[in-house]
Amino acid sequence: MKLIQGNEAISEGALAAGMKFYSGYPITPASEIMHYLAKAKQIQFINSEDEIAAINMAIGASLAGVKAMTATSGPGMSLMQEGIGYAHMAEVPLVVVNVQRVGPGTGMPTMPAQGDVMQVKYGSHGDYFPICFYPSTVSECYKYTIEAFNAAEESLSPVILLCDGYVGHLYETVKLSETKFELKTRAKKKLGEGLGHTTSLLNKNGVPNTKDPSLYEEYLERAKKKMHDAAEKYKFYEYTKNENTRDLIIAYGICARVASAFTDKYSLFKPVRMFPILSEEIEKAAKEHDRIIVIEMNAGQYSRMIQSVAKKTVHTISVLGGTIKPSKVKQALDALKQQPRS
Amino acid sequence: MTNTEWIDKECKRCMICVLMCPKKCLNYEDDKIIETEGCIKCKLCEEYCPHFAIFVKTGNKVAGK
Repeated sequence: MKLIQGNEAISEGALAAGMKFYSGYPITPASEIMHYLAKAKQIQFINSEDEIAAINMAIGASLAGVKAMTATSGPGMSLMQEGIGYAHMAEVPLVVVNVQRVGPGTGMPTMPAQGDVMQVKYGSHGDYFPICFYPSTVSECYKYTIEAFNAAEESLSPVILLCDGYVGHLYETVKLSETKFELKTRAKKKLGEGLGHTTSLLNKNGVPNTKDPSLYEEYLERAKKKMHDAAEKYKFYEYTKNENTRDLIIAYGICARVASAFTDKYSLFKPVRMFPILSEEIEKAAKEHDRIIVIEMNAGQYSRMIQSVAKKTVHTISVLGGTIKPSKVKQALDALKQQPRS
Repeated sequence: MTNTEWIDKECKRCMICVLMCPKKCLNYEDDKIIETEGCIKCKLCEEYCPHFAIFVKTGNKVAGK
């Protein structure tokens, strides 16, 4: 049993998953991940000159044949978008951790937020179908980092591990050895073996083609199927149904912890797999209730996405600026009781 | 002869004392907090314990009894 923080658990998870290369640039509130891994003798560690170098080095390491990871926060994530898009097209397994803080810009470095949710899905250019997990406890930080590596190997893509400054810095007493897991082995051929293509141009079996629209259509279908088939095996969520209510709270990350204080009067759906959205599960939970409330630390990013899946009005409680006060959340929840039901 | 006294009944196994000890001389083994060599009686464990479950012994009196 150890008293450790979320960020440390993420680092431990990466090591347990067999990560062998870490490149990173320090940024609050993700730096502890880097500090911890800098001391890990069994991996190759590089403090790169910036986040653009960090993501590209990690991509290089993955193409060279090892499990690789980098961690950052909002501003760094914005810098990494090109690399992430590259990794999707070039099919590079990777884990990218984003411990969110208030943005945009330099924002409020020490104030947690959940403002990068949309960026996971739409941050880079073009159409792609990312897989993203978001833990809400220290134990989950460990478990879902490992699963992120597994999902990366199965989907040959950069899997995003979302987190926030609260969960990242939260200290909890955990027994990591209690978390059971299996590891997926490398499926991607490393550079030098077989035919590959690494300019991330559209390619078929390693042969680039920049002129044929039907080839792109074929690629898009394949990519969509590949990502969704891989994600099927990682349907992580927690649904606490309260039989005495028609009100459902949907919350993730630190907000799920806060929302768990209200399960005496509300049902709670906590998505851990944020993307692809758990449409079936959310639609089903939404059908069983007629008031859907999303509590999130942004202006309503996931709410919008839940709305199209739940096919019902979704109310948003935005917790902004980094401080969460359960009393204020309760006030907002009580005020919503005046709203009409769907 | 240890410098600290640990009260099993009050201890909630939160590990704050283990984490905070500057000499890393408190360990959690066999579901007990064990003090090993190196204690400098700084009382950080006593100060941080939320459950009043560990004390630095002072003279002949054992605090907390």
